[in-house]
Parts: sequence; structure tokens; C-alpha cells
Amino acid sequence: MNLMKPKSIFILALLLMITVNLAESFVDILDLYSKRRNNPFFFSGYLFTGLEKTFKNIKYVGYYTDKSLEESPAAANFAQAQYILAPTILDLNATNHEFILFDCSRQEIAQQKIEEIKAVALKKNKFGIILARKNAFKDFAP
Amino acid sequence: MSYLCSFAISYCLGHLLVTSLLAKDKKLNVYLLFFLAAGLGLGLSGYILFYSFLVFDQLNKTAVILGHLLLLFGLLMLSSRTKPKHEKFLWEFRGLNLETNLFLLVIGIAFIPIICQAWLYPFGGWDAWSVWNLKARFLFLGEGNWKNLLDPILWRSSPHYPLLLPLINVWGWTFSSSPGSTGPLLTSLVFSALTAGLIFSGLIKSSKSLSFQNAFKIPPKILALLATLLMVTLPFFTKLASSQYCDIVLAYYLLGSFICLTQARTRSSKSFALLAGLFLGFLSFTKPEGASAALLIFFLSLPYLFRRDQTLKNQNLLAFFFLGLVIGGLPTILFELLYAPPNQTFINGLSSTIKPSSLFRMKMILSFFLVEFKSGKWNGIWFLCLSGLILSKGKCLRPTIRVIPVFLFCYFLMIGVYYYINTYFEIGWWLQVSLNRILFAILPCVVFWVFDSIEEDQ
Repeated sequence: MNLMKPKSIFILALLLMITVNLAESFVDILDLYSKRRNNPFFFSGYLFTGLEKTFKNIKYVGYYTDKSLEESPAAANFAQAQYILAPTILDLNATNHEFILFDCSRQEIAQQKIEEIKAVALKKNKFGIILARKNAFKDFAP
Repeated sequence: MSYLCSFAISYCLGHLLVTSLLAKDKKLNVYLLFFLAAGLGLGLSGYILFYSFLVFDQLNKTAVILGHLLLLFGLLMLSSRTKPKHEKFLWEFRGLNLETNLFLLVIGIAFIPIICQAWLYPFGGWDAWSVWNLKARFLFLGEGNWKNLLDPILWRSSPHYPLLLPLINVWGWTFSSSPGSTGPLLTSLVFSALTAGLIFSGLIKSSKSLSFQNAFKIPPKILALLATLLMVTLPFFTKLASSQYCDIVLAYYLLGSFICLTQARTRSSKSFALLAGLFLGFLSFTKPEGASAALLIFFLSLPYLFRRDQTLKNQNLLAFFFLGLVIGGLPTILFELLYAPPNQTFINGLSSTIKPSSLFRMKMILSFFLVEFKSGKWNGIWFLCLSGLILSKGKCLRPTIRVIPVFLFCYFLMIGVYYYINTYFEIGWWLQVSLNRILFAILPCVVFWVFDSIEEDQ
């Protein structure tokens, strides 16, 4: 085999590339494993689990946030909340629905908005997500 | 376990259909048959689900399972009529050999990083939870409200996108009570493996050897193995193949369409022409890019399959190709007519005064194509492919394979024009997040084309 032949060089380059690819892949995986040991995988959608039963047969739920969705963590929170709560549709920053979820940077901001729209906070989970309801007492009205 | 049950049923569907169609073909590559059958079966399962949604307006598991059993029974009948009596019932062992099985084992070992990556990201990448798996959850959990997924409020999830991948994922969940994250993960791994297998089996079709002045020969099987390893081991391929996006599904059906088309032409096989039509249909139901690619391949296939020297025979080829295309493309047409909302992320830059298409946009698109090809994430694979094409001494443009380069040229042109006309998104960001995925989807096709040309050169 003449190693200086273009086709030989091609095959050698091919073998070299496969070797580099494999080495890089294994380094990436090991790196990921070590990162995961320190920070276990967390899916933001878990922050909203349990609510799907409350929203059964409800088409729209408002999702209020003061965080910028231009930034990945806030946008991921919203997208993953939608994933967990499907088939209910989350309407971003719409406060005209009966149920509204508040994912705010501070609890006071959520509280202020809840008062402003005349809603009642129904529950808050350990991650600070608040579920509020408008016209909460309409069922008891005379 | 329930996912395996779904996948096994789908495989049986695909296998029976492929073997019924290709029963008379004695030189059948059993590996190619396997990798085509598995994807064909999953596509058929997706279509059975689509029709069940069309009829019952919700997920009706009984109807879906019954639909599968009926089709299975029908194909079994067809298979028993078309197959010679001495053939085995479900699986023919002719053509299987230890050497090729060992090569597949090597590919399987090279798959370990993809499996690890998938396990480290059980919910996949961003578009998995915000687009594809979200749609699947709407379909699975929505009951009569599944059409909520088409609501314009969900514009971030592209409600106008076709539903093949979500439907396949729902099929994976059919035998379980809840939509677990393992189903979509396995679907993405299965399609990655099928794509790799399709390249390998597509390239071992020939018995010719790659020789170096006759002193050193690389058998086509080894060349096929190297081609598959080149793609599978690429870290960026590993990342996207395990991300649970639809791009790997698109990549599989695109490659499948070309392999069936080239087989149809070289063997003058009506069965492969029918399969090519079916694969194009599935391709059109993956993503809008898939639909554009399918339309383009359809137009290119007409002159490709029609040859003046054997007019009558090739008219039949075209007839079977059309038949497959009608069957495969019908769900796409029905989805577009009955369900798909308008694309909300489109502004015609040619007529818009607020966001017009500019010269800067065009320069940006052209320069970004070059930047992307040079990008370190590809580890030089495009340059290696280019050198392979040069080494093929023009064989890469021979009539039997010419349809792939012509398609690639027209497809890039089409993509470039779309980037230019649609000014909804800021072009820099859009190119950054989407062009690499378009290239990922065509990579298996390019690798197949390059290595087929090199192999043919010997």
C-alpha cells in the first residue's frame, strides 16, 4: 500500500477522525458524569407537578412571571411547565383566566399582582410557585 | 417493556410489507431489508394513529391496537401469497453472515456515547419538551381536547408542524397508562440506530472492493463500517441524535427515500419505487423542512425514474412511485387541510415595509453557511466529505446517484431563499439555532453519497 496515494491519505484521515471523535465523545461523557455527580439532573417542570389534577378539563391557565423570557432559565421554566401541564394551555402573562400561576423573582411581586387583579392565592409550593384564582368565591355568591 | 411491544409490532408491520413487496428479489440485502422495515413499520404505526385521531377525534387505544392487528393480518395474508412456500415465516436467515454481524456489533459499541448522553438528558433538548414531546403529551392526555396543541397561543411550539414523531411517541405509550420520558428517549435512539444501520446496509450492497493498486484491498463492508463510524462517533451527532428532536427522524426518512430511489432505478424495481414513494410521504410528515425536501425529491424523481430507453417499464416504475407517494403523503395533505394553523412565525420580507429583506441579510446568510461548514463542532467532516468527492473522480455525479447532489444543491438554495424571505426572526440568531440542525439532517445522505461514490470508483 502506497501511503502517499491520495486514497490512502483519505483512509488515514478517516481513521484519525474517527479516533478523535471517539476520544472527544468519551471525554464529553465523563465530563457530564462528573458534573451530574455534583449537580444532579433537575427538570424545572417538576416545580409544577400535581397541578395537572387541579387543571383537569381547564383549557387555559394564566402564567404570570416578572422574569425575562429572553433568558434561558425563565424560558425553560415556562416551557417545562407547559410540558408538565399539557393538555392545559399556559397563556403567558395573561391574567384574565380563572386560574393563574405566578412564577416571580420575589413573593411580594406575585402578591402585589394577585391583589391588583383581585384574585386569591390558593396554594404555594416549596419552590415558590403560587396558584391564584379569580372569582374564587363566585360559587358561594347569593 | 410496553415500548418494546409497540416497536416490535411496528417492526412486524414493516417487515411483512417489505418482504411481501420484495419477495421475488433473490439478491435482497437482508440488512437493508431490516433497517428499511423498522422505519417503515414505525411510520405505518404513526399513520394508523393519525387516522384513529381523524375518525374518533381522540386517542382510542382499542382502535389503534385493532388497526395494527388488522393491518398485520392483512399483510400476513399478502406475505403468504407472495412468498415462496419454503421461506421462513417471519424472518429469512439467508444473507445473514457473521462478519457483517460483527461489524454491526462494532457500530453498536460506537453507539455507547449516544446512549450515555440520552440517559444523562432523559427529557432531551429544548425542542423535545417544548415542541415534539409536548405535542405527544397533548395527543396522549388531551382526550377530546387534543386539538389544543394547534392553539395559536402555543406559537412557541410551532403548532403548524406535522405530527409524525409525536404520533410515533404516542404509539410507544399506547400500552402504558402514563406518558413517561423513556418512550421518546427510546424513539430517538431507535431512529439514530436505524439511520446508522441504513447507511451501513445501503453501502454494503455492492460486492466490489476498494483497492490500492491491487496491493491492498479494503472490502466495501469495511468502507461501509468506517463511513457509519465517522457519522456515529461525531460528538455533535451524538448530541443531536440523543436530543429527542425530529431531525433524526427526518434524516432517516430522507436517507431511506434516496436509498429506495437508487435501488428502484438500478434494479428497475417497482417495489423499491413504491417504497421510495412511501418514504417520501413519511418524510413530508416529519417537519416543514421534510415536506419541502419531499416535494423537491418528487420533482427530481420524475426525470430520474423515467428513462427513454425502457419507456414502458419505467412508466410502471413511476406509477408505483406515485402510488407510494399518494399513500404516504395523504396524512400530510389531510393535516394541512384539516388541522394545521397558519405559520405565525412568517413575515414576507419581500413585501413587508417594517421588516424587509435586506442585502445585509443575504450577506449574513451566505457567510454563515461558510462559517457553519468550518465550525469546530463538525470536526472537519464536511472537508473530509469534499475530499472524498474529489477522489471519486467524477463518479459522484454518475447518473444513478446524481439525484442526491442535484437535490442537495436545490435544497440549499431553497433553504437560503427561505432564510432571506422570512424576516420574522433576527437572522443571526435564527441561523445559529437552525442551520446546524438542517446540516445534521442531511449528513447521513451526504456520507452515503460520498462513500457510495468512492466505492463505485473502484
